[in-house]
Amino acid sequence: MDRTILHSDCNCFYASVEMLHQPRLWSIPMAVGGDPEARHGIVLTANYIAKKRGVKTGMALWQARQACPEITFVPPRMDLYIKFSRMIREIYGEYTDLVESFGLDEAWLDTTASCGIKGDGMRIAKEISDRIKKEIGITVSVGVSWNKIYAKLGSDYRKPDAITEFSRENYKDIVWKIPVEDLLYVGRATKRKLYNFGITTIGELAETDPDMLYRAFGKIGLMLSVFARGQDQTPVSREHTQASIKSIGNSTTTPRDLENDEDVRLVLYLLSESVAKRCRDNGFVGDVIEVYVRDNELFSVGRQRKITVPTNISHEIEATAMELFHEVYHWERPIRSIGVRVADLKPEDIPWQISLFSDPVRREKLLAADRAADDIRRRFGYGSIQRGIMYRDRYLSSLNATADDHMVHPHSYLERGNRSGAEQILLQG
Amino acid sequence: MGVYDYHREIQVSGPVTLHEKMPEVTEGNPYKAYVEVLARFTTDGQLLPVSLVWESGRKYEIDHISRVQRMASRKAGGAGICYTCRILNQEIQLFYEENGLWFVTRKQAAGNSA
Repeated sequence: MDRTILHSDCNCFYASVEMLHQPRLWSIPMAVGGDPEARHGIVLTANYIAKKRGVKTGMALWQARQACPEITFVPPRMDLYIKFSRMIREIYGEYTDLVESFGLDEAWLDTTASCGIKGDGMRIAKEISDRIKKEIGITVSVGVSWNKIYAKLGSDYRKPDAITEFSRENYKDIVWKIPVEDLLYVGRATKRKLYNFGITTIGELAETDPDMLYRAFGKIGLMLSVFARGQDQTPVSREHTQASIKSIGNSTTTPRDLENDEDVRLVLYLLSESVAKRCRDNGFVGDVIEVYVRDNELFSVGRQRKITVPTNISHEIEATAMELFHEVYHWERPIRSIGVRVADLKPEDIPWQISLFSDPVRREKLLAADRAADDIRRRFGYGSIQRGIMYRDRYLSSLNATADDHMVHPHSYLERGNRSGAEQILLQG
Repeated sequence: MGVYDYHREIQVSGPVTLHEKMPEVTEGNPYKAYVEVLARFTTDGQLLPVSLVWESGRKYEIDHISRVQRMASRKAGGAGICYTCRILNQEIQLFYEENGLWFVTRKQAAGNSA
């Protein structure tokens, strides 16, 4: 039997919550944007009036003002958005316990089991949408389908305040005409590659031979094929369950643009120390190091590498991160934000093959130094002991690398592994 | 999250607006009036308002509560638990914002003497 899956997406969530609280904002172009003083000066969400004038999420505030001179900026109030997100989740919870949040403003609901009591998917979608409008004061777009991918496409299909159903009867006429780049996991690079193959719509992707996609894209090709054909079997995860930690990372938007290797080394040390500490606190070592860089025009690159000996030593993480940084970034533009991640985590007491070229005694010493620094910081505060490099630029090193703000960002669709059933389906076929 | 500290010290003193004391309060909503409320908790854990003090300083007893539901007020600008109350034979909606603050929707914009 087909599942009934809803994807609910709050329209311009942050902006809607602000408009509710400040009714004068309803009729004027406005955007919720970061604090320009701290240089997180980008548009987080704009309302529809501003969007029509060309204001887009991610724009710097000055760019938004160029597109729409009379725009009003409102500083974000995350506590309020988290509170509203929680209130909305409580409404979802009255219809099913299978609610999977995707960031603060989106969620999947599997209502298969409650359809007998509450009515079919469309009816539940209507009820949820009406209740959120009346009780919370904001609007949502809902997609209804038999798989998570189509449900998400449905909530994107018509906005704001709309419900779209993709059924077995109509999906070829509607979903298959949608541009392929609207599909989850089709980013800029994949889109370009698909277009080179002459694949521009989801329908064309669905009708392409999966073997050919596998040869061109690897496993992700199979997954995209399954996504496009509506055969994704990824379940909606139960409320309040979290995937076990698979990686530990930290990224930051720096107080000023980074302009040379020295700046980058300083920030990478800050981030690596915080990542290494979190690894140690949780009893992990990892042997995949990843670096992520975003320049001041918001283009981003990243690269990861497997290292021979799993580590939670800040010096080793920084050294690998710096090497990776040199490989991916050639200083086309100054850097706005940068991140470090340790993945493929294992328990720290796992035995490993000592590398012929590593120096175990030195590693022991580095680890002991890290632990000693942890202890000093625990007792006397974070600033009580620092690396000498931090004194090269006190302003830059003042950034708070220990804050974890990751709860607001969507978790990856594949966080719990690929559960789309891609391989099984194609093996049968 | 979820536990609200009603007893926190408010640093600012003297004749300042609520907005200056509490950053979560949005400034300048002409139809939103924060009011002082006397409320009670029942033995089964329900929170019910008993009386409110209007800006004039006059205290009004709530004679009857006919409905309690979550609701947003687009006019006042806010959302919370809405108590539909009868005071002196008039129906008013009293909102609890779940942050220690209660508001009512004005019939006329502030400044025009509500």
